[in-house]
Amino acid sequence: MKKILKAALLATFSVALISVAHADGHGWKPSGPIKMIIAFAAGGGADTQARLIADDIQTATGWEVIPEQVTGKGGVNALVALKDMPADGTAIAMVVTESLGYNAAASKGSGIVPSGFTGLTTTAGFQMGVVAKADKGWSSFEDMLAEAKNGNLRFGTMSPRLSDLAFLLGEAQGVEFNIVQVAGGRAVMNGVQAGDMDLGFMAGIQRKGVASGDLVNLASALSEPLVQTPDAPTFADLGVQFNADGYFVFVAPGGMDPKARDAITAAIVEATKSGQASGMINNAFGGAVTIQGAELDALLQSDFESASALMAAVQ
Amino acid sequence: MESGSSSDRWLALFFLAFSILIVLVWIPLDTETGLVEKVRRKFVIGDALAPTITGAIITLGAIMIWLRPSQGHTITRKNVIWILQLLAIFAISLMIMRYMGPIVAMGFEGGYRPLRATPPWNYIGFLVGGTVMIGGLIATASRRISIRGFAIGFATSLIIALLYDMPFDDLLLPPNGDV
Amino acid sequence: MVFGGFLLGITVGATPGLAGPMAMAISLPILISVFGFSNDALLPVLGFLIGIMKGATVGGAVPAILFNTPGTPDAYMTTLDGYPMAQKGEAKRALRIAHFSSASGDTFSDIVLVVCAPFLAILVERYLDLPEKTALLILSLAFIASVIGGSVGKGVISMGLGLLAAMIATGEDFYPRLTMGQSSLAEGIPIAAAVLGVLILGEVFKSLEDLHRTTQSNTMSQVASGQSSALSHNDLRRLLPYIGRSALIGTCIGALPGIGSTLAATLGYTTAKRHYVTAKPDNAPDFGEGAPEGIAATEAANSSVSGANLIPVLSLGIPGNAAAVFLILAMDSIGGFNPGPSVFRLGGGIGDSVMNPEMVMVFGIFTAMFLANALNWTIGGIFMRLVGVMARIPKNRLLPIILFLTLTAIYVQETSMFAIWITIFFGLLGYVMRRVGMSPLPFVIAFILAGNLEATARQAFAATGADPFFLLKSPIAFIFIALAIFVVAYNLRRPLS
Repeated sequence: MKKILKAALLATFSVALISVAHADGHGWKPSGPIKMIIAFAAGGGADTQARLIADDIQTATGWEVIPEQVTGKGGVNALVALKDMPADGTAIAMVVTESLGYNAAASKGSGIVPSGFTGLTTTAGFQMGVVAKADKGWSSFEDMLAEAKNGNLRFGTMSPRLSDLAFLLGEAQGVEFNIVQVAGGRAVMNGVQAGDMDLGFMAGIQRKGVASGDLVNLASALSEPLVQTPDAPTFADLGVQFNADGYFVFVAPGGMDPKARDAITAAIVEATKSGQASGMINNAFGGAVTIQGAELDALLQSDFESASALMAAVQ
Repeated sequence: MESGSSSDRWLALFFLAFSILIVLVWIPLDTETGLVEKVRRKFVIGDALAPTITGAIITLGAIMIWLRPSQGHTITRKNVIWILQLLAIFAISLMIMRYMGPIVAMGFEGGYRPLRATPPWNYIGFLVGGTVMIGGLIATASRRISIRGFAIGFATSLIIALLYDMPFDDLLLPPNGDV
Repeated sequence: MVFGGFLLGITVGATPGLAGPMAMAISLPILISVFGFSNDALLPVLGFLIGIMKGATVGGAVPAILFNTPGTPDAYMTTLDGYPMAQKGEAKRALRIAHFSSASGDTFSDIVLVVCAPFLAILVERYLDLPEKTALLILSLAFIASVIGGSVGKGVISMGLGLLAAMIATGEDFYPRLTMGQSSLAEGIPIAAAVLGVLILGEVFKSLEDLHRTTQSNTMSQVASGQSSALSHNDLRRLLPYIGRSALIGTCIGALPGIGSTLAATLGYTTAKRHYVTAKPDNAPDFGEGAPEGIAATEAANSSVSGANLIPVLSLGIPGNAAAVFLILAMDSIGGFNPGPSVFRLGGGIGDSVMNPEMVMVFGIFTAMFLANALNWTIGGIFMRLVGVMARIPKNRLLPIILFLTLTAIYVQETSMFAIWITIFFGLLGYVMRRVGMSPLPFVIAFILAGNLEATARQAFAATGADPFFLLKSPIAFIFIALAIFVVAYNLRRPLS
């Protein structure tokens, strides 16, 4: 209880910070260069976002930020690398909420739990849709379902959690998918474009294709409708009690000095709202989403806990 | 010819033993999922399948060498000594590279870590370690320790350091990503 | 921008340990922060990247010829004839041949790209499903392992080791397999560490030992200035069939996703070798002893991949190799361009009456490529020979410098001392392989293709609903697998060289 109170206090504090004091870092200053671990492959959209944020922070505050790649295992490798670094604000990492949720829960041997980290802020959400190529001739989820009843369709996913969701979607709708799990959203996109897969999860990468009419959003895998295709049914509408809500998130090692936490959070949030990073986030991820403080702590914890329910549901 | 093909036979035996070790010991102990797994009520390929097939491929290669040994080249004792020399040079120079900076910075508050991206601190380990590595290798190759070799080593390290550090803000020279 | 990228590309290609993709990886974030994310940024950024890509392919031949260390993995076969030529005092001539063949192959490939991009890749993709792709990868590996080097058994083992190294920590489960509990291995073995370790460090270790044994004067072969290095019409007539054949091979391979320029170079070289045996004049040097045809065949093949490579990239958005990956990433991060079949749709696009803006962009890219080609023909050769001044540096000093530069480049990418030790380990492996007469090339190709192969096999298995015989059910896949077995068996019966 005390912990939650403290976190709530912090949250209000950091919200106040965003508006006033990013330039002087509220009196806090890192003792040396900040290592920013990036859990995504170099050169991709997520990597570019992280590097631009690093640039923006450096320009705005004068702190030196050094990005570094630690990829693999859905962000778990990056978290393992971050875990034992100093919690004084000189080491942070950008992962996705799923890294600390499902992936942490699934890789028990790694010893990663949300309480071992200090959440800073999310930067942007995923517009996770179930997407197919337009020339399949499906304009709605029902069209696809009708064909799925004739034979197993290939469903592309990019993580074990999404594979579970695809399985549950099939179960709820009384069809069976051949679930093809690949490495990353781009690989799903390639597979769908090339015809290796009939449909798949895409987390925002489909935006341009949908706009130009090459791709179709059949359903929203989120708790809310997709911004781009608000008419597509959500997973809840389709009888799946889990969803694929997820965000890019910055974290630091556990037990961080609140001052450092607030200062860095404020700097990141500022970068997502102005500067080069904001342009990129608007362009590629449909705008910034900055969940911080207690709300973020609660989000990470509940993602972690609901993971085992999801794993149990597919057994 | 005779000694050549017998050395190829030894090579075949070595890889045969190696592949058996991989398939029967390493893979079972060091993979979490089996050859195939049942996930979401369907079979999927497990993490052990591909390495096991690879082990079988190496076995196959070993058998092919055994059946058709060629006029072999072989590893001699001289080669082994040479490798040990090289390893010694690498071990010494990389140790120097890693710890030189922190040793010099010991007297300063906070130690080396906060200074790791600040010239001239970030160059210390790289320059000294690089000088020793290049100088040592030149000396070993020409069987003669010369000041010139180490001077070349220093100049090269300096040029490489400036080449990477000047235009690119985000790049870290060795060993500064480890500290 | 193309110009800047091109010069950087040649220099980078000429520096062992700094392959084109690595330079592209480092430049991309910098370029994006300079040019921003507007649509106008796409062309300069892509132009620069294309410049690097093309320059590196040409530049890769320089150290291969002069120092017997390939600057890029696909220049490995160039060392086989280029270096003997340099030893004979014909370094300049070898460089000219390399440049001429490289530029011709490249130009040919770009023409094919412009003509065929809309059709070819779509055809390939239509007929190759996941099982067929798996089978195609198996066939390529079987071919490489059995054709390169004298002994099929050693080739197969070399390939096996490459696959094994690539499998460390790469499984699908969250436990990083085969890492023996080492958390520093959990990210897997960096591709640069394995490839550069085996190819560059292994060679440096061996050459340094040779220098150490023969304590004679070890200056490099001097470029004989008296000898005419220009290529006569007669030379060109002799080389052209080899260049043509290789350019064709390279273009075909480039158009297939997943197989890169290293395979093209190897195929081009081995095919040319087979023809050369029957066609060579009596007093001409053999392949492997400094035959100009060998250089021509290799360089034409590896350069002609770069254009054709963009066929699947532009028409399907699927990268064929590492260089193409970075082009796609650039398009992706900047926006306004969504590679895929729609790119080649006339009009339509997003606006109604105007031309499809994506198509305009594609022709911008084509223009950049031909601009790079023009540069290649005009100043490329001169620049190559400038870089060739390095030939006068004694080898016992140069090799340690190359080694140190390679290690530094790997560190800058991986930022871990452990990666340096891994590289040294693979250097030792490469050294041992050379000493026991095992070609390191199957190792490298297998290492690069392994991840792709395993992933495609998993996907094919899942996509066919867990059918254990997925590799044999489709006729095309079955033919590929049968060919793979045949290739190995056939080469096994071939007399030992």
